[in-house]
Amino acid sequence: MSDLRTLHDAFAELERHADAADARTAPAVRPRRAVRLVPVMATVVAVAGLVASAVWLVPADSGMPTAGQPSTASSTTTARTPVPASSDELIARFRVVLGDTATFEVTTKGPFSEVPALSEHNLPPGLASAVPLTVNSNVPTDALISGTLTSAGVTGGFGLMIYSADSEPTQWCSFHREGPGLTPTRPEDCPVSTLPDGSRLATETVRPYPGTVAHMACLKRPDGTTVLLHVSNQEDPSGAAINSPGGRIYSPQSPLTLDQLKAIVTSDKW
Amino acid sequence: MEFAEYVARQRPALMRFATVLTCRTWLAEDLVSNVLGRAFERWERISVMAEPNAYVRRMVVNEYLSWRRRLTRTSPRAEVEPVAISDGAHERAERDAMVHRLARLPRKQRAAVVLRYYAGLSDREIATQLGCRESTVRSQIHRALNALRIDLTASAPSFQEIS
Repeated sequence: MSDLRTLHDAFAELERHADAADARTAPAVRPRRAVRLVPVMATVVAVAGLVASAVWLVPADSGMPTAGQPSTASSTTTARTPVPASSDELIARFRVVLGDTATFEVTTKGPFSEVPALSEHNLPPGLASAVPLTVNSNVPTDALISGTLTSAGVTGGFGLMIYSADSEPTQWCSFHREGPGLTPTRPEDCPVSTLPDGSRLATETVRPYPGTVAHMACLKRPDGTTVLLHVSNQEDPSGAAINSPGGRIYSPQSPLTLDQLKAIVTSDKW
Repeated sequence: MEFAEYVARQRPALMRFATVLTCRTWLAEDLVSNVLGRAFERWERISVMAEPNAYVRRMVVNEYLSWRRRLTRTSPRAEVEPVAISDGAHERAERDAMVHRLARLPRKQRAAVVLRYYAGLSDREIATQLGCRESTVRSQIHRALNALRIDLTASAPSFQEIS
């Protein structure tokens, strides 16, 4: 049995995490407003079953597609808009990109029906930077899906989002996240490589809890279009959040490898 | 008080409260942001209240309790085994285990415990905030303390309790 002192210690620990999170989102630390989109998306994506932390190692030259993906480096010159206009369009594109690699079932789609995001025009002057979440009105927020993905008989959870922002892909690295019970991660655990076309690719693997694994690949193209993909062996890789295991474990391992994630986000079929 | 001034002063405390309430910083950020966004829209009315912060904090609690679907999707499932946390320091492991147990409490129980032992509210105030009877508050807290494996007679707490 514990006593109330332990409960108070727990509160204090949570407060420390709140302060750390607050410091990370403080205006002085993050001066670019467009970056504020990321926490919004992080929340939604986590809810949708995506947000993952990661501890992993990537060979320095491994940023190019492998694992059977018929893709090459990312393309920024397509006839379509770089960012899908809707979740349905994102689903269609994802299906094309995946080809025979995997099948998927979408359970959650954007836009953010449950998270009434703040925008700069419903905030008073000068406050946008004081309130933690604002959405760049130029950034479509509909291209977001999550659900289950199956490859070679292995099923897991996935989350996919395409958006446009000036934030770095490392925004999604798990060293930005912390919590009791989480394996601490370092920036070097989330390597970023620059591809020949100038795209920046951040990749990571996280094992937030015993028996869970989640891969993350985030590609930011030179035009700012960012493709973010999380694939996990569990229902909700947001087990990265403080002590919130990510739901049911579907399979012993992730349905896709990290190399496959890299191939997908860098595909020229988007 | 201007809204911007209120945010500058109280947002860190609200973030702490929301994090203790949700056990998730990302959720707390979202929670506080949504609440502040709505508080701004009705700030003329809130700012003249006797205790604007108490009202906003209540908004946080209500917002948290209303996010059924989101929290259902992200709450720990029963089949997920608790994670043993130990870095060698017994106190730290015990504290982290407590955070874990706190995170697994049903929402209303957790809200009642947080309002009672973190915010220091009385049973009556908690009942008002949660929209239930005082007896319900007491039973929620009793069940929560059992789930948290807290023995109130184990030792005298170092903080003052408000009944």
